[in-house]
Amino acid sequence: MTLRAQPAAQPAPPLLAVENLVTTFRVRRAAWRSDELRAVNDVSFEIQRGRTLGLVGESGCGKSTLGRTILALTPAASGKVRFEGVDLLALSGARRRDYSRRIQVVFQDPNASLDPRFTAHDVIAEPLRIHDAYDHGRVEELMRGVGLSPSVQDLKPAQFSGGQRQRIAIARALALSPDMLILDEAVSALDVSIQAQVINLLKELQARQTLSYLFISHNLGVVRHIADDVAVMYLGRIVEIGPTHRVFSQPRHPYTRSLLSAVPAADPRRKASRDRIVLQGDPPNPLNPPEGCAFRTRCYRARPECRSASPPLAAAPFDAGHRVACLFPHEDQSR
Amino acid sequence: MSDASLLSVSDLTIEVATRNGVSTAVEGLSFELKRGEVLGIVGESGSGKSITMLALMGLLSADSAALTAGRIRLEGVDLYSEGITRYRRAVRGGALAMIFQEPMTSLNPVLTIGAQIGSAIRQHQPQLSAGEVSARVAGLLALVGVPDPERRCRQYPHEYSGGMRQRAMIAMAMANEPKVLIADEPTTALDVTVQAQIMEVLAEARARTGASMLLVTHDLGLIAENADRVLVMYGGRVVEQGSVTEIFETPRHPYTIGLLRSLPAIDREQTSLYAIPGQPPALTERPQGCVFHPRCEMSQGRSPCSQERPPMRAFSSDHASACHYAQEARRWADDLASRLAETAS
Repeated sequence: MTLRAQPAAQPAPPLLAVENLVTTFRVRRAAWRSDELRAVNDVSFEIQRGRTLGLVGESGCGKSTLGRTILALTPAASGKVRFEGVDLLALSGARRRDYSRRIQVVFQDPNASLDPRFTAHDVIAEPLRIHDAYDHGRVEELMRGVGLSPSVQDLKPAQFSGGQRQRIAIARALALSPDMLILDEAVSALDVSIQAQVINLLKELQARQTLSYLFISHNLGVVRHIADDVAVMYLGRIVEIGPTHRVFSQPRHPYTRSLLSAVPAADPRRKASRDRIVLQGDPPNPLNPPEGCAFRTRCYRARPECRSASPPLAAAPFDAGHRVACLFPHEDQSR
Repeated sequence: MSDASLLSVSDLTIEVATRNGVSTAVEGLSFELKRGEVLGIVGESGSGKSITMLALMGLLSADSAALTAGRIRLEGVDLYSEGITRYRRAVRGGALAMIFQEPMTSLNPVLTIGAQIGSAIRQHQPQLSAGEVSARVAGLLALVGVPDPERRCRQYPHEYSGGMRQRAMIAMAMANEPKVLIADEPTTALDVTVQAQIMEVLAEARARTGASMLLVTHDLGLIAENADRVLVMYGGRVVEQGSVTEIFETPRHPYTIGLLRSLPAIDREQTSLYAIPGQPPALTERPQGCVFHPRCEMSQGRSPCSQERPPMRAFSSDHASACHYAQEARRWADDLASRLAETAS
């Protein structure tokens, strides 16, 4: 976008650099047999300080597993998660914990992620207590920071609305002054009017505290609004990544293009003019992905060559900084 | 009531039992569904949209909710006049059929898909032989795009993907060629590429049978693309209704205006999002006067807003808004738009 700051001459090292990350699960098929499921398959990306990477894809594409692997909630099979250059996956014990406070997480469902027996105060204070940094005033400051009055700190999660519970979860995530938040469908369960409040809060917090976000969501409209860059996942791989406005205005991968065209726009006039691509079939079983390009079974541009090998992420035609994993990406410049 | 009206709901009031006594979930709700049209019903959680659909289907649970006033007429016949038994026998699953949000919880896990669709057919057409019923089941599954229907109808719900299950639900709803199809968040549990398939299947099934549809959803995009007319519900009431173009292009209620401005758009660069302040009222704490007034920035504390229920005021033959100051709404909407554009730059 033209209004955004120009990149500095010397690019700063990224806050987070994920390199060739692979996460596998063993799925038991029978007593004598188990299969390997590659939930995250050779994923690499970077996030700069103060920036937001949106991670989109449909259910089962591995976007949440990717977030959990970065947080070390799920073990990685191979690859690196570098935070300020240090590979977190190689650390353990106290050094790992030092870093873990700098990456925090907010999940989708605050009903499930907040302990129902704790008061709001205790929920927010818990990370401070664990890290021996408890301070009553700090909890109240965190509450004010997310737009909650400290007067409600003694209420239990059930006494708050969905939007307020998500504010409590955000306050807790911010308690240890992290550099990065992983937001896994953090606004997806909220009503539209409340969702807008939380999105505005997240943008405000980011500007105030130079936070980086990995914003995982299936809601493409929300991602377009909040993310600087966006990565599209399909069956464990990133199939397209680039600056948000480039990916949305000129998607190169057929999957991205069909995904964007499938989202209904809140504009009755567009209904007649649009050319929707309706994909056939369901996403393939991740236990038994197609050979070659994983998307080829549903792809409207697939050719025999797509069977041979999984295409690597490569610079998109006419478009530096925008990468796409497709042998036959869209090359038009009409949009 | 005009000739074209198929389903007519007038002054519907639904009361529900809560821990703190009886509350009014829906109050004075009226609307008409014309033959062949899609009426979109949009509202956030707690707006009363789903319980209204349950009332239409005769599915209100007798010990916790009751229809205390109003009428539901299908082709002029009062559906509740002969009691709930007639509803069960003749209406539900026959003239009126419903598709629910979560097909996994609405399908019986221990019966095959074919058996479940078959029982819906036999309920209303007991004269059919077993062979005729299974032929109909296979035909219905083919209609909704389930591949290999003869084999798939012998499978259980867990053997279907989410999108296929929703197709099976649509097949079941279409089993007796309903006049009105009620789709309550039919694609909310599905991925967006599958949603696009399902909406196509629904449109095709409607085109074949001529069914009208009530499309209940919180997704304004789905409404914009699929509805002919729209009801906007808030706090148990209709706050605005009109044709889909009027509602999206010249909304006349501050709630509708705010809702449209709070939605992140997918197809263009965006100004700031408007966050409607506060939160929707709890069932037990519906405010006096206009239900929206505590969150309304257009009201600016004017006394009629907190004291009198605003009546529906018509702006065209098919556009009405329940706001005391609806004539100011367009100007307020323009002010809001320029304010949001300013904060963005």
